[in-house]
Amino acid sequence: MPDPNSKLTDSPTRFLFSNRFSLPFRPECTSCISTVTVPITFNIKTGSTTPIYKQITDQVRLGVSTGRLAVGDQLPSVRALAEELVVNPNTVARAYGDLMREGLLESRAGRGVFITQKRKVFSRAEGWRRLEPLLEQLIGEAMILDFTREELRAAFEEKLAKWKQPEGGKSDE
Amino acid sequence: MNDDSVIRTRGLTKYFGRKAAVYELDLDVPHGCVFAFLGRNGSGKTTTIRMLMGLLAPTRGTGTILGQNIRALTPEIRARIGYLTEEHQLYGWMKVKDCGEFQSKFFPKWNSKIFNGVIGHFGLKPAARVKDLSRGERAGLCLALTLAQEPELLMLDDPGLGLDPVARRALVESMIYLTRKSDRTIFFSSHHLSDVERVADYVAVFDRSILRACCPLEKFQDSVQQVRLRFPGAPPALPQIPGLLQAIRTDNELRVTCVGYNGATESILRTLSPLELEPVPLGLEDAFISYLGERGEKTFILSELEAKA
Amino acid sequence: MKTLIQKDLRENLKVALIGLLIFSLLLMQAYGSCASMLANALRGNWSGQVNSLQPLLSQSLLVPAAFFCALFGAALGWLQTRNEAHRDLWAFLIHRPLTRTEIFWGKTVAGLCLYVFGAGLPVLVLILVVRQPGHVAAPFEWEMTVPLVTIFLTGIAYYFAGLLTGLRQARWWVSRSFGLGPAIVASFGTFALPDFWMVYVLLLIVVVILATAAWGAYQSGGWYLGQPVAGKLALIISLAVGCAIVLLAGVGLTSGLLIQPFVKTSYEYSYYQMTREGEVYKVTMRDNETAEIVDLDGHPLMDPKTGQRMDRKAFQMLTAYGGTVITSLDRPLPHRNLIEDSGRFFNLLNITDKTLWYLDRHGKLVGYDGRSRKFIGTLEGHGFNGVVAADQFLLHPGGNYYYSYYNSYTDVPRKMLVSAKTVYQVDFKERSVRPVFTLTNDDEIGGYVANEVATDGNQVKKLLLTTRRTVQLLDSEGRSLLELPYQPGFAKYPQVELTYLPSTNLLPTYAVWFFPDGELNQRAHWTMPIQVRWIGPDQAITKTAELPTLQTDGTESWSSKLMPALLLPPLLHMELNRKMVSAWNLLNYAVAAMLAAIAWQLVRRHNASVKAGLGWTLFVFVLGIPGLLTLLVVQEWPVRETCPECQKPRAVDREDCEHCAATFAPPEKNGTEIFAPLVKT
Repeated sequence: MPDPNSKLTDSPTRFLFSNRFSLPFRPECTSCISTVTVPITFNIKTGSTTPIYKQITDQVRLGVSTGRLAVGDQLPSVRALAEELVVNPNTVARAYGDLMREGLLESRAGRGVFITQKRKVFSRAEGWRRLEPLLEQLIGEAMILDFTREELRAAFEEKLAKWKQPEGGKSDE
Repeated sequence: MNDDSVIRTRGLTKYFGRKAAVYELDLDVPHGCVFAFLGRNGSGKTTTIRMLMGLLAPTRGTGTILGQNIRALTPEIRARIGYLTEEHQLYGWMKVKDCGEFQSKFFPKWNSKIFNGVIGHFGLKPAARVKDLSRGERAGLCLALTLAQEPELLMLDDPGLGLDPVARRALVESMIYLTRKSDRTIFFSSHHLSDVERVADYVAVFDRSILRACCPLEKFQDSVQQVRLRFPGAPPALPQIPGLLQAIRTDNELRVTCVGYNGATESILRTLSPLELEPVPLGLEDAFISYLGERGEKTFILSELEAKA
Repeated sequence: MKTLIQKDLRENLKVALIGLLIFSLLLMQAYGSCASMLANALRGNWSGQVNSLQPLLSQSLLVPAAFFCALFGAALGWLQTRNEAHRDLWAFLIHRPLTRTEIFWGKTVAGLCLYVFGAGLPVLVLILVVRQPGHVAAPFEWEMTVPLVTIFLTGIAYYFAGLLTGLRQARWWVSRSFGLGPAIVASFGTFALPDFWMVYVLLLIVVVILATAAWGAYQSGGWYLGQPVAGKLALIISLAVGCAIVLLAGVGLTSGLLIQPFVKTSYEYSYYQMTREGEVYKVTMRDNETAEIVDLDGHPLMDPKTGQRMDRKAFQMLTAYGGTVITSLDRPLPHRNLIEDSGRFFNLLNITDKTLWYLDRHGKLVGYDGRSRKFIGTLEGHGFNGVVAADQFLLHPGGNYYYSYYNSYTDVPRKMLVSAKTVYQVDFKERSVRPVFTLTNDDEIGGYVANEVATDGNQVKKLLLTTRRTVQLLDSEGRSLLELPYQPGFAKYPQVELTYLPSTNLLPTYAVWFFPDGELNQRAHWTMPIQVRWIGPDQAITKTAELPTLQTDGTESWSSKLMPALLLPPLLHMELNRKMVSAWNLLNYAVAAMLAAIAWQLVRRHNASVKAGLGWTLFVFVLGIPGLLTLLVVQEWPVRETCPECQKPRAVDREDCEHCAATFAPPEKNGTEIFAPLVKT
């Protein structure tokens, strides 16, 4: 599971430079300079079985579902994020494109990309298909750590009660 | 035929003695992309790049770079191409700033800000002599010289060779920076798959002098798939599978790596009646190693191994 | 391109400086040896060649300078290209917006500047030093700088050869250095060609060929294929010359070591010798041993003491003394090779009171002070009664070019010098020139020689001279001892020999020999006879004889005929044998034809072009073994594989099979290919 708390400032290159663009020459294109403060920090890993674009979309989705990303929050432009993560802009473009198709992201002309009101794009079956591996992982991990089923169920209920409701989601009451 | 190709070859072949280093290469590199050229050592990558740069005469076949025949590159075309060689060779007696001054006199679009910027980034002193630089520093200098040309097409022959991780990261950042201008194309060969994964749009994979793959990066990673079959006892022999790369038989398992796993392949595997059949996702590096590694079947059944020992 | 020149200058400056240092030391050493030779001469030990006192002409300078310029030029060219030997550095050089020709010129201009700096600067300094009065006690003329400057210029040919050697990608690495061949030929020509303008023409041709070959090598990166035609031709010629030299050296070595010691060559020649009695005998030498001594009727000469045939040593005791003169009238002074003929600039006649007296080529007698090394003046003759202003002395007192190296120097401070009309007694101690004899009519003196003859126990000086019409013998005061008409004329018989015969009634008798001109005689197929006149005590001709010209007869052994027949190209062989058809010539043609057939086979097997095949076959036929060697060294044959359609070997550098036109198959697929269209997002 991606760790939302890790920061890119761990990367040594970033210490060398004052701004977040670790490039030795001043970029000519000023619109690429991001003035956006993003609530989440992206962290991508190479060599993973998940392609990079999917890691980005997963992290955006996680951010939305944990409430870190609210509707109306702005994400960095394609180019800005690409240079920050040190990946090909086409990869970021693809991630953003997928998110837009999912309905999570929208592009406002001349302004940037923003989180939108989530529309129910997935069918229930599709939703279960996405949830299934995560449930497996959670239960499997708990079993390995020798938690009992009761402990797990209790922890689950507690987490759910404390979960901040995202806008438009089904409430669990 | 893509008219937009920056590099195009048809039937490009090079023989060294009796051996073909490059055999019947048909390549199209589209405009404005980042193109990674992968392959094992000695598979013909550097030879191809040298042929494309007009430094080595092909045995047969044709090629064009920026529209010019590679056998007759004009000075104007050379001004638009930046070439970084594997060994980062420069004149040892020159000082760092002399190198910049030397190159600036030849290339019309020389940008000394970029040169000085990259030099500073790698921490090179302008008065240092090239022969006193470490390999990584020399690579930085060569990169500075190449980038300051403001080339349309960047040909990098294993630019990360021998670089420490910091320098390599700086290199990748430079490559991404270059994609700002959409008319710039990057063609590079590399062994650092993490960098390739970050930065490449397309990959071409060279296997023993033959081009075996040329596709977008995700397609490559998607196409190489591994499946794990579990058996009660020793796994049976593997039937013919199209696109088979590797098959590893252990005590209870059969791991099959192949290209283009689809329903037909699955049904063939199911005829073996495994207890379980599940796909194993592969990272790019594992996919690459399976693709270019030793093909065929390997058996690691403990009882058999013990019997042999 | 200017930047490239600057870069190369900076890069190779070290080499030029080292060369400058070495050459300066060499020249200084040569200059020093001249100075020490002068010191020796002043002390009375004059030995050595006439030019040793003028550094610019001495062999101790010219030969080492030739070696140095060759090595330095070649090293400079070679090192300049070796700097980019690493293929990535070569890529760095080539990959810039310059044509290959511009890169070639950039390197060449830099290299030649360095060469001129390293080799030319010391030469210039030496010339200026020599020219300055007080440094060299010998005459100086600007033309004397020509030999050294020419040697300096040959280094340019070596420079291009060095460039070519450094660039060439060749299978046999030794063959890379074959490019030095034409440069070596140029060096030899500098020392050996008969006329000096020929040296410059040869040098120009060699430089053009080597420079074109080097330029071609830059075009293709050192490979034979991919060069323009001019480059290929120049390379072929250069390598052919190199192969020929290697072949000659190899043949010379093998025949010298392996064949000559075991093969006897018989070499026989004969000459006439006159005894003191005036009898003429024919001496035949075979293999440097006296074979026989016969009289003009063919009877062998018997030794009265032993009753056996006379041997040479006993014969030598009987022979008479004489002097030889060559009449060089109406003969144009040939423009000889200035290096070989450097003796014609001046002649050291005498050193008296630390003053050196030279006869320079303008006929002036000039004096140099040995200690201050400065020119002090001339000694002039003004004809009889001072009618002439500064009479011009005749050169080559012996009349014969070869004598100019030796016989001119005299220890005694007196010498007889001759001008066109007057004979002078020159006294170097008194510094006087006194006319002792003159021709009163419109006759002209053609040649002269001074003899020291033992007459009645005394050594007496006599002067033998020839004029247009007469042959005369004078004593040292110019009194006529003998005069006879120059019959047959000097035009056909320029060489005159006077033999001193015993006196009759205290009056000397002589025999005068007239030898025909060698070239004319050769054209007349050696039918012009040698004329001999015996002169009696009253100066009348008592006897005449005509002796047939003797030729050398060499029966060359079969081995010395065989090797040239096998190895020399047909043209050269024909030239040596001077015959169109002979057994050896036919063998030679046969060998050449066989080599040409081999060449044809090779070329046709590897290359479908008939034009190239014919060209190479003709080339190999004309040039023989060096031609075939060049073909093997130069050609880059493509690899051949079996064609799957027609099963014949086909070249891999064509787009299709040359036998069945089947194209090359695309790579075999093994099912693991991943190809997807590359579409921009």
